Amino acid sequence: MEYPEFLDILGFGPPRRMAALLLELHRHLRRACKRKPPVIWFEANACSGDSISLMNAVGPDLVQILFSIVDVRYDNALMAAEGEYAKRALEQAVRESPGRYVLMVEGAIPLNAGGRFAIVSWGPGPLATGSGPTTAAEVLAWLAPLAGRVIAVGTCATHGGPSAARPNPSGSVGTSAFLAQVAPGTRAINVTGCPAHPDWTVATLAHVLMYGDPDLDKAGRPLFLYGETVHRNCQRRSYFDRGEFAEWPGGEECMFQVGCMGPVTHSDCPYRLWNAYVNWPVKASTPCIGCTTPEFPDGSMPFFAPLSSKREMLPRDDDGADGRNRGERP
Amino acid sequence: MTRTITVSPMTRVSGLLSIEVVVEGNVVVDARAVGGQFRGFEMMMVGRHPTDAPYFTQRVCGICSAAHGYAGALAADRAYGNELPPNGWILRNFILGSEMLQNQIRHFYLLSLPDFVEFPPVPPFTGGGGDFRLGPRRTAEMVEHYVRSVEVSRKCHEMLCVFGGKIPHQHAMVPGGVSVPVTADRILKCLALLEDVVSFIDDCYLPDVEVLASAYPDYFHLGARPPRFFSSGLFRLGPRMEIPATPSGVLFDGRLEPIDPLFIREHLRSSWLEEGPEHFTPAPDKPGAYTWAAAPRYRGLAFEVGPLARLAVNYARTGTVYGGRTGAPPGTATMDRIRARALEAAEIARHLHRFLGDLEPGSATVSHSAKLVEEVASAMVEVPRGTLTHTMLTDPEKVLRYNIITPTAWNFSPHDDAGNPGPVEEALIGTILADPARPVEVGRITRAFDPCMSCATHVIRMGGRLNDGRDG
Repeated sequence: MEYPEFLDILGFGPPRRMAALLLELHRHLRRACKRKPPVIWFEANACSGDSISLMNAVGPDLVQILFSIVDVRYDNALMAAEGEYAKRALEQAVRESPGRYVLMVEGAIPLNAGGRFAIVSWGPGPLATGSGPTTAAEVLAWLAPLAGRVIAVGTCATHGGPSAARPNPSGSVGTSAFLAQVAPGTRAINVTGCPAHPDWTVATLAHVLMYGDPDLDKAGRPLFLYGETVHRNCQRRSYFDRGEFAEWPGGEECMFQVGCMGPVTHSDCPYRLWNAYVNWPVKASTPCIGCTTPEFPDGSMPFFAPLSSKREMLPRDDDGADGRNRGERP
Repeated sequence: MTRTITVSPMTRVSGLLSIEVVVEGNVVVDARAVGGQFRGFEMMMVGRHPTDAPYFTQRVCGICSAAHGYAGALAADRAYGNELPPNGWILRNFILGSEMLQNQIRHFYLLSLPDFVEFPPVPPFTGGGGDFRLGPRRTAEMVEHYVRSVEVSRKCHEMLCVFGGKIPHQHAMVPGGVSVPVTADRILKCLALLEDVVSFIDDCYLPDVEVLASAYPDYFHLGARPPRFFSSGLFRLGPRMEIPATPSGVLFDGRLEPIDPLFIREHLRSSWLEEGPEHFTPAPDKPGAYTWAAAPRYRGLAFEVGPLARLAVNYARTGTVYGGRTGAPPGTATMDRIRARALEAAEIARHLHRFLGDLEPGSATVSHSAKLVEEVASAMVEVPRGTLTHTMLTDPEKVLRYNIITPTAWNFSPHDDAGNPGPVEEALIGTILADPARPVEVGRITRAFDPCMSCATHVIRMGGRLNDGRDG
């Protein structure tokens, strides 16, 4: 597949053409490697919403992803193995394919209390010999430098997101901010969203497997997915241009006065749509809440307050600093 | 001579969980459910706007986000004195019910089935537990149904999205109702999707549960615990969403009592949490503690919530399983839990069908008052894993305190201040392990409760005012 066609299908084409991508991905993988590429899906401090979102994928769907695109060697939500057998599977995946596996991170990485706000396992395992806890931070510091690529999925994994919302009791940070501390030189591709749309996750994975790293914006996101604002492509743009605004969710007008973040939010929701492509927040007569922005959710709240008055209504930390303890900020 | 066996990580659950069992010979004599994560959503809600409750708190959980959206929106409705138009409260229930179908189907096939069925030996299905009892034909059929369940559970979310805007983390449930207008095409689309889901429940889910029940009859004993059940009743009907569609109550000592929220207390002895004058504080170094989950107790006792609790309360009140069918009362063990979840899915689908029929195209779906009328507002509702309570204390501009009691906090609660175990721990204690080197029983018993550790947030006191927003 020619690269422009890939971008056309994934970036701006009708989403149903994802099926064409699947065929091409199969052909490519058969040509390029004998074995399916190994993937480790690692969940830190998360709500599992990005895993659930991926289960909602269509063309390719979850079964096609699992059985014919990648080898998911570790995934807390899906793997049959449990306990020490799960740890062994993780260890084996790293041993067999160092530098080759794609590490997908879900959730933020808590740093307070030695990382014990996200305990992945207890007892002996890849990183421990005694009976104590192994934290998400320890596991990620081990997995990331040995990965071929690191993809952070969802705004918690990319920038801290809701897991790091003020006052951020667990001291959670995003993957890039964490890696900058423990493994400088290891970069993560950021697929933001709360949750990440399954197409964004699959498309980024496909790009990485077929063409290597995509071009990224300054928030580390693939430009072919996050290149334009919601506002630019919004179906209710004509209401905005005419100054017709809804007073509460449920109105048929523009959602700007009830807090829409569309003008400052980069995503393709207006034309991609969600859940088998049936709806999206503004079509549902609610504001975009900017869930793909690095500042989400604190930068979007109060959710129903107009953009200009959001930040002044936010509670401040004692030192007055906005977003203390957060991951990278623009 | 006792020794401790740790199953860590407990996979195929939502979030981070480990289970420790203390074994004497082959018998489990004590158990600890170890919740591995803490984010602190109640602390985060302080200072935010009361209308932010549904969108913000649903980030607690990605698999039951609409549940928190539903409870958060209802708590906000009570704070603002909202009376919802019929389309508004019907759609709230339709959205919640769609999510419950998604959850119950995904739980059985994606999370639970690999405990009982040997999948093809490809990742991520390698390294499973053993004691697989189905023959090759049945096994192949189950794996095929697993594949179909991926499509059907996705359709539950598609149905939700028609009126919910997006999922996980829906948009349409806002204070005052639901934002999406009711139109004939939306109703028809949902009816078509629902028909596919109902066919799957009837043709696959219910029969598959009976296949497991015949092959694993010992699991009608394994995982049994004292019959103490708590349910506030499925769905909430009416403009103030006060009337449950199925019976509510507290079932213990063989009798059913109405719920009195004043009897709910949280115990923190085994939790990495401490109560301060205003807020709890995380205490990761606290001696004797072993989990991030707190221990809610009712009258000082551990109560199970969830599909089996709802079925048991329904049976205690009506003498029937759902749909008016008589039969033996449900037991309290692992296979009873798995079967109750499937029976409930069929019951929920019946409600959803009726909800769609009751919608009025063109009529209002939302009515929100801009003035806060209640300082303390609470919503106690039933969601996929059991009873969920959201309570907020507000001044007109902002939330002063926010309290969430999740189903997983009830079921996966640790030993309480009196040293008594939580429901999952009770279910594990007394289990005879066939092979302590490969304790498959532990995962099967645990997963039947459908753990969601993202939801295992702690509980804080609201000055005993939890009952101000009366419910159930």
